[in-house]
Amino acid sequence: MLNYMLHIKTINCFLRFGVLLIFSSALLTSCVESFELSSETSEATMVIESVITDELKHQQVKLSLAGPLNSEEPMFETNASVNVFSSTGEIYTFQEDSVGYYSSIDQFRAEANQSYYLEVQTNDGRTYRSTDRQMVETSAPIQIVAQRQENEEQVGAAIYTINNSGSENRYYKYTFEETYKIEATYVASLKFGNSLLDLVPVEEEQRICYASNRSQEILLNNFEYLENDSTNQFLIQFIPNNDRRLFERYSIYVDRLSISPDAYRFFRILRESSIAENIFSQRQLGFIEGNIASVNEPDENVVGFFEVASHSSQRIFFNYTDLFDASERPSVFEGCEVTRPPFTEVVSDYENGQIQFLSTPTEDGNPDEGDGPYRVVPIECVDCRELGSNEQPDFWIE
Amino acid sequence: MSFCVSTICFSQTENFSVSFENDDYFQAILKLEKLTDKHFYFAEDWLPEEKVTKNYINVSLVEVLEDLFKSTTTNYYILDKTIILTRNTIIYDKLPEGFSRSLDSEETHFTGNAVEKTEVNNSPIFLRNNDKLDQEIETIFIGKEEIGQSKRNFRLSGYVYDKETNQPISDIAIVTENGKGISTDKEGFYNINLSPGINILSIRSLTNENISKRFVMYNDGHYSFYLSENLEQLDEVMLSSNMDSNIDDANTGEETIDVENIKNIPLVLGERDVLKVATLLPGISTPGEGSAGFNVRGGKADQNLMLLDDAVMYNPAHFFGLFAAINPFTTGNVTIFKGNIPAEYGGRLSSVFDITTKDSDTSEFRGEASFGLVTSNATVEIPIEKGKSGLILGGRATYSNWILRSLDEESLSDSEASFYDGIVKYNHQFNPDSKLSATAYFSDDAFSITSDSLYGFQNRLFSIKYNTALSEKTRGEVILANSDYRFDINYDSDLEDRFELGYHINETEIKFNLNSNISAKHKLNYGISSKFYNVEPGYIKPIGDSNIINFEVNRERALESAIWLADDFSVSEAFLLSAGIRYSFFNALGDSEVRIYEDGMPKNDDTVIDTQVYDDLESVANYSGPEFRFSARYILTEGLSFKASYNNTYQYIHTLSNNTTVSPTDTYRLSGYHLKPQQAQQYSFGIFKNFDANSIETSIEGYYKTSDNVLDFKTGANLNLNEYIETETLQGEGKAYGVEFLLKKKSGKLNGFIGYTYSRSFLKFDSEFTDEQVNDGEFFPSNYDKPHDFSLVANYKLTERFSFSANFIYQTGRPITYPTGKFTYDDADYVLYSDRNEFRIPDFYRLDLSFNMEGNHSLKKKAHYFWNFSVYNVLGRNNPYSVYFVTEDGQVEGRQSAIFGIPVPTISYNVKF
Repeated sequence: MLNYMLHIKTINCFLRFGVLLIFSSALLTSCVESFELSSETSEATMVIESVITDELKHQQVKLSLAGPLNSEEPMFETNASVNVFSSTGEIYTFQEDSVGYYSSIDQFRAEANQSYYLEVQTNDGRTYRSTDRQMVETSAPIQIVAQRQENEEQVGAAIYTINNSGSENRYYKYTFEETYKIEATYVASLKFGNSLLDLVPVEEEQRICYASNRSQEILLNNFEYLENDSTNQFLIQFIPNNDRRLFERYSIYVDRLSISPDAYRFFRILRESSIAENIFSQRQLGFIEGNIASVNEPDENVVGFFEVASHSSQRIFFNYTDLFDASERPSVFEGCEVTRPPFTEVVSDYENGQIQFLSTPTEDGNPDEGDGPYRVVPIECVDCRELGSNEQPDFWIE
Repeated sequence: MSFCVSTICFSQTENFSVSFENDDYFQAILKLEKLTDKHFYFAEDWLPEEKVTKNYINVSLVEVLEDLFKSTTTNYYILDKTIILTRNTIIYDKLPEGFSRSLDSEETHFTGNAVEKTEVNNSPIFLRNNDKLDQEIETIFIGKEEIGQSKRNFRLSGYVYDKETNQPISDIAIVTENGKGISTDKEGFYNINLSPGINILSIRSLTNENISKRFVMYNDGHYSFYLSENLEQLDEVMLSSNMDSNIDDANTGEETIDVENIKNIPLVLGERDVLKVATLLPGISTPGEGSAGFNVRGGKADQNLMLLDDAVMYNPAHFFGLFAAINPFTTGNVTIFKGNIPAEYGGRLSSVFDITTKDSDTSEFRGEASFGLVTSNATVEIPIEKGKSGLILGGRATYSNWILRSLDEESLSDSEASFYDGIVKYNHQFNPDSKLSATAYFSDDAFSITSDSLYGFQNRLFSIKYNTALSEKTRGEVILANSDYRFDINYDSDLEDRFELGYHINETEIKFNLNSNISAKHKLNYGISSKFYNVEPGYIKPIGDSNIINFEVNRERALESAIWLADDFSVSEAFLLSAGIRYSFFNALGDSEVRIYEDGMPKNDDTVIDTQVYDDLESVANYSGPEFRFSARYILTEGLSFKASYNNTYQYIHTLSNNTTVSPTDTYRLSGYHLKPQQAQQYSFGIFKNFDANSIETSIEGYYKTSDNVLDFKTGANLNLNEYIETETLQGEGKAYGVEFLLKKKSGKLNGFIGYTYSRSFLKFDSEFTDEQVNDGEFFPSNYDKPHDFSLVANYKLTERFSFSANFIYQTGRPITYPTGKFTYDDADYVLYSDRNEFRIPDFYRLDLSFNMEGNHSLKKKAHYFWNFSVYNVLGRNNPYSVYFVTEDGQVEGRQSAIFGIPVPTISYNVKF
């Protein structure tokens, strides 16, 4: 519900200027500009990410370090000893699978009526410990719907979770992974094999592919100030209907965690710290306090919130025509013009990975295509592997 | 230079009738000579060229002359049987109408127990002093001589009004021959003891004509002065403290803004803005260009008491602060106390902005309108009972909504921004001693920046004041004021979660304020006030078919009272001591439920050990304390004085805000069980020196200020609808110091001022719990710490009609919290902030220019117009307003925003009639 704060703070630059618009577009475009991040020297701040859920699995802990603002590569804390302790005396030990990523040696699930805490001991002897957490339970399973939605600007597919406020927990955090099928516009049986443009047969699947994206913003939703037992829709994702992701078949997997108000607060502030805001009133920023502290140096800043949450997830599939009329779909040929550039251009474009062979020209070919030796198209129009993987995911259902 | 226009007016007792029928002035004068026994002396070519068609029945000669010459450049002096007509120098033919009207004893201000003038010949005292008689000085006889009268002093009292507008003029110095001086109060009232017989009173003022009058005192009496505007000064002085009041007053850090004369200052979008002008003065700043809120001498924005006709104004801004909600055309006076705050005011730590609305003209209908690019403004003054009462009405509205809608920009079609404000003031002068004024004000803002939420906020004020003489030496006023402020957010969506969220505060104050001039040496001010607050700190309710529940944070109620006594003690001519004490009380009242937290533990949901319940109006918490207001002035030599002051203040109301600058959705909460009152003390010292007959003022003032229990919030604090704000608030210390230099040139072709301030402002929030600390509990620069602040306002008058103005402003960039690094969380990048305000945005500078054109001051014209062409930010400097970081597609991006990144040209038109 408090999402409205986000709505109103994400103010489009144009709109901020409300009354000033009478001047010129120069004013509008000059109002916000991006700048290069300077390399401030960073303190080695520990970042600990971990949510233990009630799903029986190898639970995960990620240890990283904050880096300079302009750093490209993330830094990780390796060779740490990571343990989760339960109030019943159990100790779950984690091992480092890949740099910075630790998972529990044994599968386990968080149990209700128990409390857990996380302890991390770094290679150089620093110890970090979280506060005791108890699992936040939830009863109603997640329910997802996709529906056609129209507003003034666009038509698209809106994916909502429908939650019943019930009476107990009221704070949710979502993550999703969307996967969509891609069909290449053209099918070719031959392709350029090397820089000399030798034609070789197409052997791999390059017509049907699948691509996936993970959610990259923190999705939070709460039931504060909602009537008991009322249903609440929360928008997870909106995709305009001219977006390629929807053209064939689309699937989204949404994972919902029931979290505590404290964890909610942590994630809310984290999210707020990262979004554009009202130009006239800037939020006061500062260090975001989590629930993990250094045992050796209590004043040390540690980023992270260790939470024990119950989870519920659901996957749905839909086709373009389930929500939209086929006539609404933009032409698949858009952006896939066939051309016949001169040979030298073909060579350089191919080397740059921009084009691929479609066919050899025929006599009655379209003269607008040019007069080069080959008919070529942008590579993604004939080889879907440019956009995704040609392996069908295990979960995929047609 | 001043133009003193006075006549010696003897009574013209014989009334007569005369009519002119398309006569020229020469013929008219011949007629008058025939009808009276007077002789006119004049040069024919001095006479106005117009023809006269008038009919006078049973009038005095003075009335006829007054009327005949009122809109001409001709002046007259009556000397017994002789009448001399004179013509003034060229300057006069550009004077607005009415200027040349001489002051005479027949005007209506001779009322009450003022005594009609006597024939000069009947006054032996006067004749004996004939050597003093010169034609420039008018003589006024006060009181009937009583046989056996043995009083050593007679009291003369009355008002000083602006002749043009009938507005009372405050802070006008009235000085006797032997140097004894007083000044008029806020109501324009004065009260002076004179010795029997002849006294010469001189009025010294920069904004109005300087005149002297001879008073022959037979008894106590009243006399009101009507002063013309000093045209030499008009449109030149933008900010003026009266005459040498900067030298004479005991107060440090007091500024007066001459509202009428700010029109030449180039301002963005053609909006005359009283409060923006204030920010050009040393010691007053805003956090950023176009932002709301003022920081006075290193204080937070919620530490300023904004009074509009004695009622508190909670949000004096429209549209995030881009426009002031104070109507510039109805505003008469703005006085800002940033140093020593007089004892009658309290409740805020840093300053008082005392804004008073003009009185309506009680004799003539007047109007003024202006048209700008964003707003239009109209003001009318309507006399109700001639000479006694009038009504002033002012309204402003924006047409930006229309502009937004008519733009061919799709993303804007849903947005709107509109505001308006209106003010009505009624003033009624019952008699020279008693006056009533009542003001009502309303402002409304509505804007939506996304298609689903509509914001609105409203100020509503009402005040009524009755001012009367209680005794010879004491005047008293009673003020009843009510203020109301609310905002709401309407959230509309396609889903079933539509709601309205809002905040509301209402306060009612009654104040008794008395002034006693108990002797020439002691002037007392004392009084008592009490204020009742009712706050609805937050509510949410469903709109239509929504599953949002109704929820309200418990209301807060409290009583804030004060009693005060201050004495302006003139120890000697040179040494003035102003000592005041104010004792303020605050009672937070139930009903309420207060959570009690475990001692020595951070306040949060887990450390609650008990809940205390308070009944309706039961006392929840009490705070009180003495507030000292001391200041002293010592005049070393003429035009040079030293001042020093000490004061301390309490504040029982606080702004809750998550932002670094003021936002319309900030809420005000009262002190209570957990939230302690803020306190501050300030020491200041100043040297004031005037040169060149007070036309150049210079001053240096230094201050050191400390404060306690200043409020701040945990990072990301949730302040909306929060029932337990004590879990989010931090209370800490503040420390500020600075030196302010000001050089003002108040007259001449080139005039204006230069101000420079070096100041620092720090805050400190320490606690044993890390999440209640800021910057490890060390002092850090506040959001408005701008060490260097320079402003130049200059005005060059080409001719009477054309002038140029320029502003130049330079400020150190304000501190911001800059990231110390970045980290990844949940697959997205975020920036890491650790130390608050360690970085500064780039320095701010801006140059504005404007060209002003006055309409022809033709005397025949009824209307007077004024054009202003200005260019804001001529240099096109892209002054960053804020620097921030966003995460987009998982990547961190730095951005900076500016409000006016390019030169903004503006034109505005103003007409007065």
